[in-house]
Amino acid sequence: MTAIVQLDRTTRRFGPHVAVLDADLTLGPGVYGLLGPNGAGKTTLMRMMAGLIRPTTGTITWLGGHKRRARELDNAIAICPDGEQLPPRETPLELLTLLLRLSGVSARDAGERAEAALIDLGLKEELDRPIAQLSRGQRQRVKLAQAFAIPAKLLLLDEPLNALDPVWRLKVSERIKATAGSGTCVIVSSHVLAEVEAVAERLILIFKGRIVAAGTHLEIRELLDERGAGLSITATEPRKLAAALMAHGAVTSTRVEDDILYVDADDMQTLCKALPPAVVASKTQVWEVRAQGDDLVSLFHALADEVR
Amino acid sequence: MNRPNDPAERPFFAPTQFERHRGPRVDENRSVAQLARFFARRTASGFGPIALLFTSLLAPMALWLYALLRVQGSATIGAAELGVAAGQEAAFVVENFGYFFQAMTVWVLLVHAALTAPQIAADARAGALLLYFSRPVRPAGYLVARVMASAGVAAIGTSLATIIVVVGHAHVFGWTLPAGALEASRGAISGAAFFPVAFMLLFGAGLLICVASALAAHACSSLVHRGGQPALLYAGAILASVGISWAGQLTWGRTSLARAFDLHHALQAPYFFATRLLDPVDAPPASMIDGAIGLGLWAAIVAGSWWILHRFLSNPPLSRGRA
Repeated sequence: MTAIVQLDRTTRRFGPHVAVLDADLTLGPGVYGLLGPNGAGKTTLMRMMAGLIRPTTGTITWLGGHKRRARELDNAIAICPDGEQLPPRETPLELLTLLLRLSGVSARDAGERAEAALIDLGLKEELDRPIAQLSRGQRQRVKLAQAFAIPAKLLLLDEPLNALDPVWRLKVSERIKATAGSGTCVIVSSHVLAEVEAVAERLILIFKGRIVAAGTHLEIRELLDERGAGLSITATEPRKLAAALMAHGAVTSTRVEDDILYVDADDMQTLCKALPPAVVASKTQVWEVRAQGDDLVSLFHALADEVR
Repeated sequence: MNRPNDPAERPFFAPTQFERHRGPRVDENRSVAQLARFFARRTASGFGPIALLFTSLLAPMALWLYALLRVQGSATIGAAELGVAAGQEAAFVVENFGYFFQAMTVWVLLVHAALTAPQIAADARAGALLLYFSRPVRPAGYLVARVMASAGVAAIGTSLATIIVVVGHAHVFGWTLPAGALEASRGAISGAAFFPVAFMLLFGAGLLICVASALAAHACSSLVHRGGQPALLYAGAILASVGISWAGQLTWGRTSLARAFDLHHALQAPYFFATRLLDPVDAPPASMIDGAIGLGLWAAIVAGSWWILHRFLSNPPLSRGRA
């Protein structure tokens, strides 16, 4: 089996800002979820993998050692960019036909293939409307259609489910899986774990430009569970509530800031069971309870600290 | 699970072998031609209102000329009616063509300011560069397509105007100039070849102006991206060069050398250099040197614009500043 894309200590800087730092990856066929909060470096990493921007240092090779813009890679890489990356005056059919013609498809076939790709993504009625007049969801599907229209070996989908309704999220997810099934390496970026879990076999976690972890989504879930439990509780008498919780032996530490009580525990279930009787015992009114530490951002922070 | 705190432990999902992919290569020339056709259609769609404006400006002038001839009562126009002395026909025509060429240069500059200057900026803003470069299109190919399209559309206008002007003059003076008509100019060209050569010079120099000014307009477009900024930059650069040229003329007093630093005149340098063939009377060595300087500046505009554009397109802002 051939490595479809290989990054070797790849770094990309924009002036003083480091967008991606020392990325090492070797990816074969399958679906990979690139997960990270906004500004983590996902888009830059994907654009480097698409060969659209050069790494500042390090190397990227494709399909067994080819360098960026090698002629052998013609049509081997497709990208669905994030954001509003479409020319507004063209119609979807004009744009896709042009992009297929640029990919070497004959004039006769390009129109037919473009139409089929757009109809496949539910844009039959929008074929001849200027892109500026389409809704966000429809524009997203135009971007996806142009990426799916060529049989690429490496398909990079940057936030592909953005702006799609649940029906199209499901359809696009199925399409992604089917594409990967034919031996393509599909990389799907998102900042929402549930979104990539639905399509990706393996996840790559990126934070502040660094790849902080990689593995199956079960392994990532385990990482979240390992991180213990914590709650922030807004209450009228936070100190009394802290004392009641300590008396129950359900917390390992407490901290009070204004009317908010922060508690840490080994086990979330025990903590949740202990909370109602503690509220009653302390005769306090609780306005809000928030979970701490089981979100992805705090996981990213913890992993980044470990890597550092 | 890979936790890459150890550099040796890289996220690694698939075995690596060095079996190289051999995908079908796409003929990039065809892609560039396709892209140029697409851009030309887009440019031409904005050409309509400008063409209408220029036509509406030219129509009263044509009517005025027609009325003048009717008042004079002449059914035909010849050298005598125009007051051109015998032996001065070639010099008169060359002078006329010079004025026409200057007007044409201004027209090309205006067309590129209005139609060409916003184009690359619009592609950068809309993120279309990312889509084009995700296909087998290299920056140089994109650039060639853009220049072919915008210079091509402008060249249609200059070529049509050149045909009208040359045919009009040939109709007045005759397609074959008599030997006496060339006497004063001491040109090396025969009377029969005069108008064909003049046409080729105007046509070729028109093309060169279209290409050079299209490149300059695109270069401005790659430097600033908001709304009308590229057109303003382009127009500003031309006006600034005119200012420098005037300052030079006041300081140096060598009119032709100082004028060469004016972008508008520098773009015309290939034509005025070449017309020495047709009318070498005003071609003392100093004038030829000034012409050569103008030619050098023209080449510098082309090379500089290409360098700016290629540098920009090799690493374009694909994400409007997002990392």
